[in-house]
Amino acid sequence: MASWLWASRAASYLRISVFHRGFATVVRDLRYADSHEWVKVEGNSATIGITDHAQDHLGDVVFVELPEVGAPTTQGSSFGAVESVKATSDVNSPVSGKVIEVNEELNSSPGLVNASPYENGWIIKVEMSDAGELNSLMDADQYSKFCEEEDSNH
Amino acid sequence: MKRGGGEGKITITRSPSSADNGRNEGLPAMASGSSGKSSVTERPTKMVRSYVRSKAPRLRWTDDLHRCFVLAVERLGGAENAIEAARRNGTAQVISSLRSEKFPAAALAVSRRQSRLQKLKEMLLHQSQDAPAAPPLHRRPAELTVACHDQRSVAVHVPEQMGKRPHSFILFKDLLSSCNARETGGQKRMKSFKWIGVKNFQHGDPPPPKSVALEPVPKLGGAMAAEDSLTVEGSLHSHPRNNFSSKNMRGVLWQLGQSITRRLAQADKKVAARRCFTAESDLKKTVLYDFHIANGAKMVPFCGWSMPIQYKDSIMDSTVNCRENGSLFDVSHMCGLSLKGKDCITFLEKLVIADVAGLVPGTGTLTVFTNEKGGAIDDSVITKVKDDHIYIVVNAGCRDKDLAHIEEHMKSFKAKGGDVSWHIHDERSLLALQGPLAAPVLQHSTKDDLSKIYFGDFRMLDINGVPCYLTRTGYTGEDGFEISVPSEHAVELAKTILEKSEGKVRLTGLGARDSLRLEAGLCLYGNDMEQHISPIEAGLTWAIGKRRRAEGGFLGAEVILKQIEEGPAIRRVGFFSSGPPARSHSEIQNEKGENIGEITSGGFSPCLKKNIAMGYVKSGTHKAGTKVKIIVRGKPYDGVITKMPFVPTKYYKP
Repeated sequence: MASWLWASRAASYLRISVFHRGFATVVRDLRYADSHEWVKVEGNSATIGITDHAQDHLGDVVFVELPEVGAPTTQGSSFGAVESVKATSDVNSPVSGKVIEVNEELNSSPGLVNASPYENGWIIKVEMSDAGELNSLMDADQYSKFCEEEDSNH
Repeated sequence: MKRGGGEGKITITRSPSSADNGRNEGLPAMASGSSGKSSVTERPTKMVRSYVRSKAPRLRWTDDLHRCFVLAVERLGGAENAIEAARRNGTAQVISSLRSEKFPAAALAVSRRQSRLQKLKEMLLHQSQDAPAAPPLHRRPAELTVACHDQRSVAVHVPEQMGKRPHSFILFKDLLSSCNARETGGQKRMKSFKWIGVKNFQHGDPPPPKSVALEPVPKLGGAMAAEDSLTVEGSLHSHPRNNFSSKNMRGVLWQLGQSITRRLAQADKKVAARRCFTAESDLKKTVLYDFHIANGAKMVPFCGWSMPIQYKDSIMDSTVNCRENGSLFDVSHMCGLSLKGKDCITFLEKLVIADVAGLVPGTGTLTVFTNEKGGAIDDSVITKVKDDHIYIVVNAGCRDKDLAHIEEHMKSFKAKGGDVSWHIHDERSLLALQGPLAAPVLQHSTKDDLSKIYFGDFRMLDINGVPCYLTRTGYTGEDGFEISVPSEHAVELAKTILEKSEGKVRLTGLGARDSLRLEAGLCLYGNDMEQHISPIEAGLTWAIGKRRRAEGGFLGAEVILKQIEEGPAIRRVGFFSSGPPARSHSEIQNEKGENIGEITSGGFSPCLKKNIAMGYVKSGTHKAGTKVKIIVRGKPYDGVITKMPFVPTKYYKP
């Protein structure tokens, strides 16, 4: 019990919210799409990746299909794919815009998506064309709840 | 991020309230309807729908097939009548009448199961009403909107009541010209018809090329001129509903054809994924079900059973652990049976390619049940216990098919006075213990000296004080055993094995089992072996005993013996590739870009840390070292043909 208290205090300090079951982490300041991507906004650029919940369900990622730099993205449509031992999943962009950078590291270490889904496992950076789209995304709490509901439906 | 296709199976959600359930093979989709509102802004669905790719080979609705289909339909009285008939009597009726019109036999293995697409097709047939058709059991009906972009193309939107986001469209060209070609009696390839493709957000199908330049269509009375390229877009259209003009009818006919295809392609029962209708309670459970759950298993439906796909460790770790230490699999879903009687050997030899008479009692072998065309009905391990007792294990997915086949032949055999009977071992459970620690761990539980039992050997002995059937065989390429234990003792035995191994042997699920067998170069029936593939093509010529090659006497012997003599047209080979792992149905091309074959299984090898795959290529192009291109999601990647197994096997031989 004590360790749980410590953990939640540490968690709030680090601005991570932890599920009561202690499974997937959800980072506070990010926005989330219902297709399990996260967006980190810095000015006009958005960094995009898949959430801990998603990588957990996928299993070990063995390949990441990246888009070309300069490719356009549209909110809700796929820009690439993440492939694991058992499945391939499209990754959808939570915002519209243009790809300005892709994470080349993933070509040699696709496992970064599993190990560090919010940090080193980022997938693309997009220059947003419409910051208003962020409003249609979920925040950390809504996303946590969303994941819980999904898991309970399984 | 959307769940995509793959070799393993993923749990399928089962909420009946969402129409978003189920199979996605080219499901023509759901777009939100005439409201025109972009659904991305709507509240998301609560479920994650997993895409589970079918293990059955997809029946490709090629132009040729379509021509035959249209011709057959026309012979039946035309598109309108066919659609009317399907609406009135159901697709089965249409299928059987198509059969009488000599529609390609390959396309006509009918499954009894209603598919979701079947339901969808019925809805399509109910055309443009708002009022949905008789709702299928588990989901809300879809609305149908048919829109004509222009005179030449038809988009079929099947919006869902709860459509949340733009889904896919099937855009297809007017069928009129292809039908016209038929009428002019042309055998020429009609290039006018192209199915642009489906962009379905729900699965990882190859995204269609952004723009498809179609070849110009030869002008045929009234047919169209060269098409413009059409792009598949995720945007929504709102079109006024149209009555069904003859063009639309033909469009719907295409749709009908597609749906029939998919329904027919369900013949393979191994495709557990499609059992999205099966409620949790309908799935069969092995006696170890609770044990699995207690050990943190993720259960998935597989061939009508609820089976563990993985436990707390990842599939990759599980696979590596099997080769380093050991794994315990619950394979009780597979079907074990015994043939008894003094003529059981003679009886079985008609059905399989093995030299059963030549087997030393107490040994077994991998074999193939063949059909009259020389194709494989199933692969199986048969063991001669004694001269009047043969023990057989067949695949779970083929259980019904195999048992019906055996029963049919048994009836006629007995009618001629043969002495054979069978017993299906539903009272027993099968555990597979594989890996280097399998023998040392099992030795703790039995007095018999396991070092004298070699690969392929069979014994009836006591394990843990319980009489079991032990076969030194497996599906992983490692040394190991398959233990058939009376079901009431199965959990006890599993626990004992795990304890004796001090945690080194782990419970392992079907996900890792698939990786292991792929690394060992072993066929998976339903992927690498099928009704239309012969054992020779599959590389199992060694399984046909010498005497049987000389004498024949099994179903399909003429075809098979001919293939042995002349060489088969296609061969199964292994591949390494770069890029994303090649999956089932990926096209294989030679360096010039010509199609030479198809992948049947593929994935990432946890042990080798590279992509491995197996598939069939034309004979002549099958030499190891041949460079190929494998098309994954529309892009070519380098590959090279290699011998199998990918990971050396470690069978315990004298």
